[in-house]
Amino acid sequence: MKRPLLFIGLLFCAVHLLGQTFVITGTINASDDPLPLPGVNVAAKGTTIGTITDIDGNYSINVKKGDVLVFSYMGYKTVQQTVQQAGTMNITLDPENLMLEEVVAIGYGSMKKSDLTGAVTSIKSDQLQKTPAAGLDQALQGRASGVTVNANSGQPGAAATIRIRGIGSAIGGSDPIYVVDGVITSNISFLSPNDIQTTEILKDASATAIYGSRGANGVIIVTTKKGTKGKGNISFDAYWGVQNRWRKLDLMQSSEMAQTKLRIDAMRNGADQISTYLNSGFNSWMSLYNTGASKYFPLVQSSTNPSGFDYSSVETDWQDEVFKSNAFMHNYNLSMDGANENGDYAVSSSYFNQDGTIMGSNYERFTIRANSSYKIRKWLKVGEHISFMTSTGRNAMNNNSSPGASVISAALAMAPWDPTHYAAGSVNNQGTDLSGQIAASSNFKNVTNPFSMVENSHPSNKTERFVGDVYLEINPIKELTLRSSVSYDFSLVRNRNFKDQYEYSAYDQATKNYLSSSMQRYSTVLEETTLTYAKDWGKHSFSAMLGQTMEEYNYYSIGGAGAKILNPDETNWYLNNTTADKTYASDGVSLVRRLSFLGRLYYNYANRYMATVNFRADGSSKFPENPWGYFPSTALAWRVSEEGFMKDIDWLSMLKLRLGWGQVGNDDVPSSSFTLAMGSSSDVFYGYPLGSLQELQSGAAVLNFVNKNGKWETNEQWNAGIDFSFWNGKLSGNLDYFIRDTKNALLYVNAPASVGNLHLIAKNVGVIRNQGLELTLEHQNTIGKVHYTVGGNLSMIQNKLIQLNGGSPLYGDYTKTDLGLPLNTFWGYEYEGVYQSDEEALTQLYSYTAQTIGVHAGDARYKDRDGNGKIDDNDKTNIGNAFPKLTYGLNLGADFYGVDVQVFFQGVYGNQIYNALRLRTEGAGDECTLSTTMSDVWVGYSDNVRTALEQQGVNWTTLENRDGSIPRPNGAPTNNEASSRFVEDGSYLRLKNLQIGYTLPQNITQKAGISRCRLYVSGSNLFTATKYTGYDPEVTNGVDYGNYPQSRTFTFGVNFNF
Amino acid sequence: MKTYHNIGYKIACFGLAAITLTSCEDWLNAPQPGVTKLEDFFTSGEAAIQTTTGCYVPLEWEFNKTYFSEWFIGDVVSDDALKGGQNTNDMSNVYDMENWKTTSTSALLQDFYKAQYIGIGRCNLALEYIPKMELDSTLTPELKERLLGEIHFLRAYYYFRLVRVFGGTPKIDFVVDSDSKWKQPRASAADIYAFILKDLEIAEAGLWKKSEYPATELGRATKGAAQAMLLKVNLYLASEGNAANRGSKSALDYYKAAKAWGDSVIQSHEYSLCPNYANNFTLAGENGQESVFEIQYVEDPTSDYGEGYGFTRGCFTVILTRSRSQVLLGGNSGWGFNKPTANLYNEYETGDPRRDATIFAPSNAQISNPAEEIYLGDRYISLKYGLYNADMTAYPLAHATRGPINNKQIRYADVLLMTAEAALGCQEDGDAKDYLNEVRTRVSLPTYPGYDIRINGQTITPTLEQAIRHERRVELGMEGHRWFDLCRWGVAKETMDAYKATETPEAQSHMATFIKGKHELFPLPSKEIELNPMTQNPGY
Repeated sequence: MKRPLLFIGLLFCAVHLLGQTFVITGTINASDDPLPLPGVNVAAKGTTIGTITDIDGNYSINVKKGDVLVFSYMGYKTVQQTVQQAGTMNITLDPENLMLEEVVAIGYGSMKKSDLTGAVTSIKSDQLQKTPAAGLDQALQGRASGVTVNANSGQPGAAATIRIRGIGSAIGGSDPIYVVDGVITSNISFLSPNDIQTTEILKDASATAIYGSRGANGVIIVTTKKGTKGKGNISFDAYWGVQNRWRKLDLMQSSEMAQTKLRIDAMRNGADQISTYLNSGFNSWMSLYNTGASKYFPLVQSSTNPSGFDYSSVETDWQDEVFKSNAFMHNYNLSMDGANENGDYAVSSSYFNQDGTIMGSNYERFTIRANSSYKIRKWLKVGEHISFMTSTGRNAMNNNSSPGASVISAALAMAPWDPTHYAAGSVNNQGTDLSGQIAASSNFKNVTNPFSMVENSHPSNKTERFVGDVYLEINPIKELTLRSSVSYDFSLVRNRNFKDQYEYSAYDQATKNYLSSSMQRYSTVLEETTLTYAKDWGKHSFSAMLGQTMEEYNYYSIGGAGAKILNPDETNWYLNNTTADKTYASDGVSLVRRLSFLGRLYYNYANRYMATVNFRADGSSKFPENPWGYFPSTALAWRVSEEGFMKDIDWLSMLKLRLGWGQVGNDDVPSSSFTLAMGSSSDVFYGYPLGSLQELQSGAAVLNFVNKNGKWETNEQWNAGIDFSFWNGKLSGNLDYFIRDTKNALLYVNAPASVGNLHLIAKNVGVIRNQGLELTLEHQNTIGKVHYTVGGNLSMIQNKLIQLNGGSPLYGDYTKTDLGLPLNTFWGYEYEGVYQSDEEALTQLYSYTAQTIGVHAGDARYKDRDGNGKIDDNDKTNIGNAFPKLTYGLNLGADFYGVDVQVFFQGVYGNQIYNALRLRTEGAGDECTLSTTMSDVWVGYSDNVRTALEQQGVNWTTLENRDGSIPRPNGAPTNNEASSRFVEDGSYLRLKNLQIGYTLPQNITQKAGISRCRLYVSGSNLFTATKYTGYDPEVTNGVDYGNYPQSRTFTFGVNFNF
Repeated sequence: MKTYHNIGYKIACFGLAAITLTSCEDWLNAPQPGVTKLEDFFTSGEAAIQTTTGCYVPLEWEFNKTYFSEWFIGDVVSDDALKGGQNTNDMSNVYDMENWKTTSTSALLQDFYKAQYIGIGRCNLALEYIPKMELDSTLTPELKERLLGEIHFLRAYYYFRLVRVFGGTPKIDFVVDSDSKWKQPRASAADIYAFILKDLEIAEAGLWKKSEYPATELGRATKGAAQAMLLKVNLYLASEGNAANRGSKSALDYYKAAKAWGDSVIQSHEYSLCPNYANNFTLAGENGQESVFEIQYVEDPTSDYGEGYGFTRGCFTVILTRSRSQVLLGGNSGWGFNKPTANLYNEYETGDPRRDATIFAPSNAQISNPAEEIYLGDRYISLKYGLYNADMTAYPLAHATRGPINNKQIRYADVLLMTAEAALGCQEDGDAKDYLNEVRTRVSLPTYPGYDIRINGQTITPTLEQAIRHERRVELGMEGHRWFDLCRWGVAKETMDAYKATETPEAQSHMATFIKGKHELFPLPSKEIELNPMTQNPGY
């Protein structure tokens, strides 16, 4: 960057040289640090005149017009300015672009970025903090190639799914591990993104193998903020935001929905309901429908009961009712840090509070954190990282297509003519006043009103978590470092759910109040000791690390339940107060121990040739018969640009080739697969009723003989990569290709029934392949006062199960995992529209007769793939999958005159979504007719129905729709089976974040004692381009049962430094 | 321990031991808290009791991927009943079975096969560990012998259920704890029968008499039950249909053995016929004086459907067989399976009270939806497992689909009729008549000889053999025996063809031709053959 600056400097500078001297004063600031810089060298070029800035960053110097002032400070880019006249010259220094010298964390150590041999992506915290996210996981979305982040759910506090280089396990977990200041965890919700200094993502096996049996799914190394030298920094950050849903499904209004439903209903139930509706009006039909005989409904308005409830005037927009407008979120973070030559400290606390956009959901988190270190002796340093978090929140029931289990599905099952609560004056057939009561659903009797879900259930979840470590570092000689640490990760989760006794309909009721309460305790103690030796001599640079770790994980839970708390006041929501249906408290326990030895050798010759060899041996109690696993890896790198023959190529700043290979394990597999246990209890699987009273007696049996010799899944990965930087860093990036094979992938193997147990045994038999290409590009430049960056990344990953070796295909609701297919491929029929006539159905399904066919005009037509005139399992096929062909992120940033702008796009292309929620709106039963698309449902009447309609004076010709394109909801049961009808393109491009900030001029803020004050406005999910028709294309595992959608968020924030 | 062979590990381990002063191997291999390993389980007498109790559970199972109650075979496949249900598509596996259209992919047969082997697997595990257990204050020598007797009885019972339906299947009498033992050859039916007899003899020796059990243990296998099974299995082998499975012994040898075991039951005076026939099928009559062996079921208000075997302590038979009629039963109506045929209804002699205790013939007014309640012309309803009250209302179930009534596997009347059959085979006609007449006298019917019967609409004066076979049909009607009797007698083809001619034209139109030598057995599930290569039954 020096050269262009110099060039610009020269261009702008007048070349008149006059001998006149005058005083220039000013303050030097750093762009990355709010404090003025003391000790900056200020010198007139080509002279001996010079000075340094004082403690407040001020300088004063005598120069001649035309002199070039050179401002230099270690770690910052040197700035040259030509003096034109006397006056003030305030300079802001930018940190030197240390891309080549940047130090990154690797497993059990750190390394200059230029020396890396593996595939590692570093992410700066300032990027992460631009998104108003509760956690690092969400903030990583779109930030790194090869890393697919799915926000999963808009539920406040919900964790995102992170997949690094695809999915490597069919039965086990595919989540990466986080290493926070050395503490290994799978859950990072305890950390406020504000506390994060740097994030490194280790992607290939040569980088992750040092984590052995836990590195297979990638490793995210998080380093938290430490104190920096200076007079001490105090900063306060806060933002306030409002969130709204960004999309609404297109649903019918009351009268249109009623007519559609009745047209369909008449096909099966005849003319009565629809003719009543058409001839006598909405209320007459409603009184027919809920018959007035049910005490749950108000008597309907009629000529004889003019004060009755007028259903025809109700128009409830259930989506508006359950989605909240302007849900509030706010976040505060206060941190202080400082350092001197003997020690450093950083303390912080934060508070985050987010209300959900779906009613009955929220999240609140409070964190405190302290990091410090101190040099007791020249050779001895001690330190610690301590953090504590407490969070509470309520989850909205979502992502379940059953209306009893999800607020969204329930809202879509209610009818628009149903009020949320009955209006004043509503009276039922027993004369009871229903005013204000939560309404019963008249649309579909097995529906819980979403308001009773939220108002009559009182879940509370509270998590308290402590994560901390203490360490010491001994340097007996300069080259040798012994580091030893002990960390403790402890959490206590308390879940309590109290449900009221209530009665709103025959289905929507609870005859007793009910309380369940449980507590889970998790703890992990981890001891790590590493010995590192590093020495440079001549062109050789060598380092070696040996380490040993020991870990113990303990889990204990206890919980019970009961009903009928006599005084159901909140102060009485304890199990001791329950008086019925008590269950004994039951507890659960588990223990995992790990013992590991690890080592690394690194050699570098002349900064040109580099080699790394890693080895780890892991002993794990998870695999009693195979406790030991050995995980080797190696990588080579060649910095071509350092070769003599490349030195002359000016535009090429850096070019490095990398090649790596390694084996890593995934021990995140169900441990019950390996422990042969005797089950014994009075559970139905074991117990048997005996005796004259037929009391249930406990029995015992082995439910499933486990696979002997079960072990972790082994990932073997090859990686080839290029790192490059052109034009002095103006354009830089990297390109990686990898093949990641999960060998010994656990699959279920079917035993013949004669073995005498549950016949499915998990066995290490499969091979899953993920292969792909990752590209990262970054361009930055400064034109005039405008500094801008353009960064982008994209990944293409293919996933496939390539060997079964006797394993069985796995089935999900709409998915199948089988040989030659990506994991969880959507599996179903190919939808070909609607049979327009019985003859058409009989022609295609020629294996049936008119009596046995079971499929008629108006039913879904599926492709008969095997051509046998029958639709059966053999006609099911691959109808899509949730793996994007392309995942990408694009970041644009610029700053000028104190204004900074960041625009961040993120998206996926080429994946499919199974939109199972459409079953609710497009017919799995004639009550599911909400979608406006249902106006094109197939409707055709039998002669009997036509005659009956004619007799009632109804013109059926306008009601029929014999060329409708949507299958009739009350037709053949196969109409709603998994088929391509519900598979949609899941590609999307999202303006994930747009932020505009303004840093107030320092001369103004300093008067208030504020060294830096930045204000910003930010918008998230402002715009989403997608063909997907559901609430949100970010759904869990590609199947949308009514996922909690992401919200569109506007925030206003401040950053203060004192 | 084999990891010690690894030198690298050894060195590292020594290094660590120097630092931590602990043996890492021991530390890693600490016992898992809360998990009882198999070898640590069998340490108290109570464990032996629980393990034995667990062996009974698969007897209860009637549902996995589909319903597979044994009466779908024993009654529906025979001339006693039609499938019923909502229409021909409802339980299509059974539709195929009763019309001779079954293929080896039948989910019902697969489920049935699996359930029996789960039972066998539990017995094998118990027989592996319990004999090695030390005695303690709970596990007295007598109790240990009884428990082993129960387990041998149950293993024989599961194998008997298999061999009647499939013929020979793999003979597994050990714990299959490794996939190297998964593939086992198919044993012949003769081997399985011999194995069953061996198990039953061990059981008989160790089991207690029914009267020796405390009231709290009612429902367990008894010496009488083992003797009754020995009677039954020997009788099966003596019967013509099992001529190929007799091994070196003759039919007469088996008749004699059967007769002897039958006499043991009768002379034990542990059992007697209850005065009122219909009481056998009430909750009050469970495990009563006539009960030799029953599968125990209880009210189970909290069960969920769950997935697969075992998610119930109640039986499905009540809801499966109850009338669908809303007029008759309102909210307590059922699904209308296992509809007695007119052929069975008409075989009851005039005045036989057992007909009206077994079959209900609803009037038109008692049928709410003829399309769903009259199956291929058959309107009859099976009463025995429907828990009806005297006024044809029904006992309301605590759970929507689970009922508390025990399944009567062996009644004393069955023992009497089997012994009569054995006596006839031994040419001891006097005993045969006595036992036959004891059954007839209970329901106040004339004694043999001296009455005529109607079979397929033809009135005949029965021979003693005909009389006993007729009596079995009407005494044990709709209790799941008929099909297996027809097969062992070797008369399935003749009987089914004659019966077909008496069926309604609609019912006939669905029936394929019965092939002798094929349809007496059902095919082994193709899935099982795929996983464990076996020769399929002939004709499939």
